[in-house]
Parts: sequence; structure tokens; C-alpha cells
Amino acid sequence: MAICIAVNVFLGLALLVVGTCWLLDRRGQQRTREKTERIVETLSGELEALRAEYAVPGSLQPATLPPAPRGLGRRVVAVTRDDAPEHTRATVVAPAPPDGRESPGAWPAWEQDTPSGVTVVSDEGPWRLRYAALMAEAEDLGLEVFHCGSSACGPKRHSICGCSCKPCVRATDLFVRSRIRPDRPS
Amino acid sequence: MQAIQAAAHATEILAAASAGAAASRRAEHVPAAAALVALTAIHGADAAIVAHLPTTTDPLSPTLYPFVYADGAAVLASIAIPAGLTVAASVAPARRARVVVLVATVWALASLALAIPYPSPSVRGTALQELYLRGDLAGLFVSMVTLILWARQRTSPTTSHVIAIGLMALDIGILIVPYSPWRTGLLAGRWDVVQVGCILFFAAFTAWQVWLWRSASRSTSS
Repeated sequence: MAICIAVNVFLGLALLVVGTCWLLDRRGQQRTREKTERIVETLSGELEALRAEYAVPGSLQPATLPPAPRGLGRRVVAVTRDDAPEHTRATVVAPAPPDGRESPGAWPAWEQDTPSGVTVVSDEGPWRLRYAALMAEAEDLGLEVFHCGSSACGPKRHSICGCSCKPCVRATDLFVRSRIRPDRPS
Repeated sequence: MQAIQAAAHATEILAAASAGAAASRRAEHVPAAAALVALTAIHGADAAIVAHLPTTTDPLSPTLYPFVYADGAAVLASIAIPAGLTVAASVAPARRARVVVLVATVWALASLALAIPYPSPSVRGTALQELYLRGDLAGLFVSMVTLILWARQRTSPTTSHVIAIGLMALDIGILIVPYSPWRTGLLAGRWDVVQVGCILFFAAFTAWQVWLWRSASRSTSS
């Protein structure tokens, strides 16, 4: 009898665990959707501005924006001019800049959204507008912005290169923590 | 060893092994894997330690003191690990090392506090059971508060959170089931009801972690 009651108690608790996790996940996804809608809205405006500035119609399409990665808890804005191993799985958000220039380093695009939800953007050349927009967006949404403090990242020190300085470590932590799961499409 | 006890140990080992496999492909599962492996190792070691101790609340001979100390430390570790996992899963990875150090320090101090007074009656028999229960409730409180604070961020749970919540539920279940050793006495209580819970939860952990491992494998290969 005691065993039967124990089995029922534990099964009930197991169901409670599943239900709790499901509810928490649903809440997290809802928050992600709300945030993403605001971000996409902001990005659409910025893309229009970029298109106007560089006068190459159609080169930057808002439609190329990826859907919000599932499970994205927070968006981290990082600024970089370096290629880094942790960014190799990045998803290109927009095509190469309209004037055909490559982004600094080995990057083919002026901005990349990594699978973790870290937005990496350069602050140089045609990317400066995007950089400014991201900083404004970060301020509006209360997002965290990290600038590398290492001299190895260049004189302006505006990059997250994955080195061991505090901003890079923090950004990388959040990179992992925001834990986008590429195997779970949104 | 009773069959149900052997089954409980086996499912715990399977859960730890599958957690390691899942963690190898999902970094978010590393804290859960570390906790499950540590719990399994501690439970295995404690079973060996307890085998050397007679089932009595009377003071033991000084030659057995090391086993008494080790048993107390093992019980406290199995209380501290689920709470530590909940905190570790809820903080940034850079702070996890600090969490481990903090939990280890609290555990070491509590183990010393339990060992030094032995064989005082304050750390034997019913008093010892009350101390363990207080420790368990304190661990549950820490887990609960951590989860509530984390849930306020409205982020989706990581796989480590799921294991932490599962371990918390298992702990609550062990407290409330009929004839729980926490209430009826560590020596007089029925451990089979506890082992039923362990089998159910660790089997569920194993099945889910194998699914995690396989799904990560598929996404990697595709």
C-alpha cells in the first residue's frame, strides 16, 4: 500500500515538474517573441535608412532577417572587428555591404546574428550606422553592451574578440547562456 | 542488497551516464551532468561507508569514527548538490566556479560541525535526524528562492534547470511519502518508498537525456 501511494506521489510530482517546465518555457518564448517583434521593427527602419544612404535598392532586405531563435532569453549586443571561433556558426542576417567591401577581418557581412543571439557588428565604415542603431536599441531595451578592453582588439577597443578580458568573458558567458538550440527551429 | 535498492542504484548510474552523454553535446547540460555524476558517486561511496557501520544510535568505537564522519559528510553533500545545481544553472557560467566554491565551503563547514562534536548526543540518533532534516529543508529553500528569482527573468529553462527542478520534486516527494525516513526515523523508516521515487525520477531523467543526446546528434549530422 505504501509503495502504491509512493508511486502515485512521485508520478504526480513528475507531472508537476513537466508542467512547470512547460509553463516556464512558454513564458520565455512569449517574452522572446515580444522582444523580437520590437527588434525586427527597429531593424526594418534601420535597413531602410542604410539602403537610402548607400543608394543600392534591394541590397538589404528586411525579409532576410531570421526568425527569432527559440529559447532566446536575452539578446546580447557585442561589437567586433575580429573573427572568433565561437562566431563560426553565425547566421548572416544581411548580405554583404552594397559597395562590395568585405567586412573587417574575414567576415562576409556587416552584421551577424550568432546562434546564441549575440549580435556582432562592427563600428567601422558603412557599419557605423548599424552600430549606432544597435547602441540606441540596446539603451531602449535595456540590453547589455560589451566592448572589449584588450589592446589586441585594436586602438578603439570596440570589439568582443573572445579574449579573457572581463567584457569578452561576460559576453561569451551570455553567449552560452542564451543557449539557442539550432536543432529546435522556431 | 535488496532488488529495489539495486534497481535504484542502477537507474541513478544510468541517469549520470546519460547526463554525461547529453552534456558532451549540449553545454547547457554540463551543470546537471556534474551534479548527477557527483550524486551517484557520493551515494555509491556512502553505501560502502554505511556497510561498515552498525545500525545503532549508541556511540560507536573510536575506530569507526572516520566512517561516521564520512557518512555525515556524504549525507550533507547529497543535500547540498541539488541546491548547488539550481544556483549554478541560474547564474552566468562565469559565476559557476564561485557557486561551486561557495557550496563546497558550506558543505565542508557543515561536515566539520557535524563531525567535531561526535559522539555527543546532539549529533546522534533523533538529533542527527533533525539536523539532516533542517539541512534538507534549507537546501530546498535555497533551490526554491533561486528558482523564483530566476523565473522572474522570464527566460526559458535550460536542460540543467529541468534536472534541478526534478531533483527538487524528488526531494519533496521523499519528504511527503508515507513512512518517509525523514519523519519516521533514518534507521526505522522505510527506504523502499524512497527508492521507488529514485527509480521513477532517474529512469525519467535517463530517457529524457538519451533523447537530448540523440536529438543533438541528429542536428549535428544534418
